[in-house]
Amino acid sequence: MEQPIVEVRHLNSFYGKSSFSKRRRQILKDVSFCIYRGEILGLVGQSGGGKSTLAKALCGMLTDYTGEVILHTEKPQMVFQDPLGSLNPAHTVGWSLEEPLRLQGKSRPERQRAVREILQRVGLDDSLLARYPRQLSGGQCQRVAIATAVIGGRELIIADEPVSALDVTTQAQILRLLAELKQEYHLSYLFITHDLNVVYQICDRVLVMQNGEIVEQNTVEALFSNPQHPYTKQLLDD
Amino acid sequence: MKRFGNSFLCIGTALTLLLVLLTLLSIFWTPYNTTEMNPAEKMQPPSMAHIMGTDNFGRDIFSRVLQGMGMSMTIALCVVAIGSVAGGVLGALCGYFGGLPDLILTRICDSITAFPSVLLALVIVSVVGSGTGQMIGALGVLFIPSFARVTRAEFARCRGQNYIQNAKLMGAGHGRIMLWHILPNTMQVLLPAIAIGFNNAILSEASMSYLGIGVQPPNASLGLMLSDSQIYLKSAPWYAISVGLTIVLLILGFSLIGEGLQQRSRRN
Repeated sequence: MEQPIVEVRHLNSFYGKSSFSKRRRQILKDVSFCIYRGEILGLVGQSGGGKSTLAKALCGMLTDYTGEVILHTEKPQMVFQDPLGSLNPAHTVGWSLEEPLRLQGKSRPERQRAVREILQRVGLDDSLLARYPRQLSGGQCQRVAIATAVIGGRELIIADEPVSALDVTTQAQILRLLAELKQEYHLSYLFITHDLNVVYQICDRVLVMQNGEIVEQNTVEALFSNPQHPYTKQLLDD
Repeated sequence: MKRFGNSFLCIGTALTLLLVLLTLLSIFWTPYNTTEMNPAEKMQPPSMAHIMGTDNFGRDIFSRVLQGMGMSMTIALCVVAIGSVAGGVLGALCGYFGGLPDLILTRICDSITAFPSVLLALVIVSVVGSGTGQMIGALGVLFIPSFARVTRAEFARCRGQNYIQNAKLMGAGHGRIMLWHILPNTMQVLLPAIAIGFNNAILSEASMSYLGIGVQPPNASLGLMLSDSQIYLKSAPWYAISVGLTIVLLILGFSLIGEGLQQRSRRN
């Protein structure tokens, strides 16, 4: 049946000085879920609700936590909200795209071939390779960021509000691109957003998070037609 | 404003390049021997034969200024090299890893910078003795904190950026991240700091040699010559003026480069 690519079991995470400090705050509360291979799992909830902490957990970047995060794949790659911030400003687009392959020890011709291929796939021109991120538009940056995430061959991508900073037309294009890439490269996404419209367009299942707890998880159809938790209902009404 | 910044950089580079070329030339050729004394020609005002005049021993001031400039630049270069490399490495490690070592080092740097650097250099030189090598060592150590602080701030800023997080996820090691992912981003702050550091080094060298604890005679350095010339300020004002002017031009060149670089990075 469906194989999980990530399993999270009873994850609690804390933020603050140390375990005996009173200022230690619990961010995630007993979070359990799976991401299955080939699915786009949406994660919605208000800001400060622990969404980004959960993303960090999947990247193995939490220090103070209990519970288990089991990755059945390599570490994920992330696509961030700020398109400019996910690309290194000191390097050209070409350099940034090659870096994952360089780390895998691929030869120069191999890298260049792969870069041209992926660039074409995300709908960008070869002429961008020599440019710096600040010379690109937001949409172009985000396409490069997505290409960088995909080119290394990782199967899991965490997209943290990837279209929130883009205008509506570009949003639609990027969402379509993400969906297409998912099919072609057999990817799975954790798609973090506050925009239920976006969830409806792209996700298969949704987790609803409130104050560090998952209050509801269901398929998109079921969630939109028959929300159970009051918080979900409130989100849908807004 | 845009053209202004570039003109700073242009003029500064041209001026510095000219002085550096003259200095390089002086290694192979100077108009006159720089140490040979000539009593017949002492204290001559500037003329076609001696464009900066001669000093109290009849030596050509222009030739000695060229040589002194070479000495000052070499010392400044060494001082900045020690300070920027050691300070850069320390600052990078502290900024990138943070934690307790970072806290301790920052405090040490703060307390060192609280003293005037020439005063501290005096203390060090009085312990290890005076001389060119000792002065380079003392000033080099004292220049570490300023570079460490700048580098630390930049590495700490970049450490949390999204592109660094992704580089980590790609599997890049700490060394690779620091060298290839962060260091290029710090250049726009580091390069002006180096230009300004070079200036401070030239000034510090001049002050220490002026005080007699740096370069020793018969070697020429700008500070040493300035100290010699002040006795003859009335009888041979060209001596002090030509040496002083050289120091000013040298500093001006690097200040303009530093300022130009800063303006350029502010625009980007």
